Amino acid sequence: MYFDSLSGRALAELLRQIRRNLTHCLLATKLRRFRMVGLVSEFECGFDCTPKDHAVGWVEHRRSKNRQRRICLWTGVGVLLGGLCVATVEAQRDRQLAAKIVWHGTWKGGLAEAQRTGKPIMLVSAAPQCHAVPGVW
Amino acid sequence: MDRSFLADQDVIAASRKFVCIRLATYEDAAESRMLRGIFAPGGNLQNTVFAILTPDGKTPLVRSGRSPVWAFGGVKGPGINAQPLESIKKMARAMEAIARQYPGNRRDAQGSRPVPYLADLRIALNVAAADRQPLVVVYSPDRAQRTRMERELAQVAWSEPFVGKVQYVSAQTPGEFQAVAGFQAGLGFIVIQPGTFGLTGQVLATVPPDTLAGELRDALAKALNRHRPSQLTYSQHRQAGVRAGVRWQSRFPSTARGGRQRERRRRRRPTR
Repeated sequence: MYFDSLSGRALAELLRQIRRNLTHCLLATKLRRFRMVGLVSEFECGFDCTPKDHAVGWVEHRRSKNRQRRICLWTGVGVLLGGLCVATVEAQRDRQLAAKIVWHGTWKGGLAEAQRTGKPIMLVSAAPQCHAVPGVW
Repeated sequence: MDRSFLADQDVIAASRKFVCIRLATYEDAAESRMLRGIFAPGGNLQNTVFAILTPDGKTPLVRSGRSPVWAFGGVKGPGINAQPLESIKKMARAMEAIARQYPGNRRDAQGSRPVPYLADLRIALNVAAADRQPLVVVYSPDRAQRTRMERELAQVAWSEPFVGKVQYVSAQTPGEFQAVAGFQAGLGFIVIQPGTFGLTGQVLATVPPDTLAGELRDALAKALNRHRPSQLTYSQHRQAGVRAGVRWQSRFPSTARGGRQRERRRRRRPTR
C-alpha cells in the first residue's frame, strides 16, 4: 500500500480501519473502482472470511453477509429494547417498594403516639390538591 | 408538598426515630388552629407547614416554615423538588442529632404502635391517590371489634413490606363508602384502589374481621399486588384533572396568599 510508506504505524492502523469500514459500506460496483487505486485488496471483505468463502462470488457473498449482519443488528435491538422495558418496569416497582416515611394522618393520633413514646415530632401539613385538582401533593 | 427532602433515604431512615405527622391543610378546625400557632405569617395559615417539635408538640426544635427549606436551606419557589444534596443531608444529620437528644422511652419498644390512621375515608382516598398507594379501611360499626382488628393490623402495618407503603383509615357506617365501587357492605379490612384523582375508589379485596395478623399479612399482600397506581406525572395529572373538571373542595377556605386573592376575585365577579 503506497499510503503505508508515507506514514508511521498509527497511520497504517487508521488506514486499516478506514479500509475495513469502506469495504463494509461500499457496493460491489464502487468497490471495483476503489480496487483500481489500491485502497481495497482482493480478499479483504471485512467479514473475517477466507478466500474460499468468496468462491460464491463477491456480490452474493456480500449479500449473505449483510443479511447475517441485519439479523444480528435487529436481534440486538430487540434484546436491548426488551431489556429496557424490563428495567423500566422494575424501576417503577422499586420506586414503589422503596422505603417511605410512615405518616400519622391526624394531629390527635400522632401527638398521642409522640407522648407515649417520647419521640420527637416531624410535622408536615399540605393540601392534597393542586389548583383544586385532587390526588396530588 | 416537598418531594425532595422527604424522599431522601437518609431522611426516611432518620424519620423512623420520629413520630411523623402529615395533616391535610384546611380540613379540620382544631388542626388548623394548632398549625396557625406554629407557622402562619400575618395570621394566615399557609397551604404547607413544616416543623420539628418536641414530643409534647409544644416547642419547635428547628425553624418552622412552609417547607424544610426554611430550616435547612435550599430552593424556594420553582424547582423546590430538586433541592441541593447538601441541604437534604443537613436535614438528615439534624434529625439524627435531634433523635439522639430525644431517644424515646421504654414504652416505645414495649407497647404495640397504633395503626397510622387518616382522618376519614374522604380524605384517605385523596391522600392515598396523592401517594399512589392502596388504602386499607378497618370497617366495623362495633368499637370493640374495630379495636381487635386494629391490634392485628398494627402488627402488619409496622412490618416489612407494608411499613410506609399503605394508607389506613377506619369506618363505622356503610354510608362512608358512597364513592367506593364494589363495596358489598361486608365487615372487615377493605382494601381499596383509589381513583386517579382520589375522589372515588374500587374495592380490591375484603378480608374478614376476625383474621389474625399472620393470615392478614398474606391476604393483604395478595390484595396489594393487585394495586395499580396512576403513572401520570405531576403536570399530566393536573392537566387531566382540569380537562375532566374534577375539583377538590376543602372543608375550610384556603387562607394562603393565592387562595385569598382567588376569593377576592370571586367576590368581585358580578352576579347574574
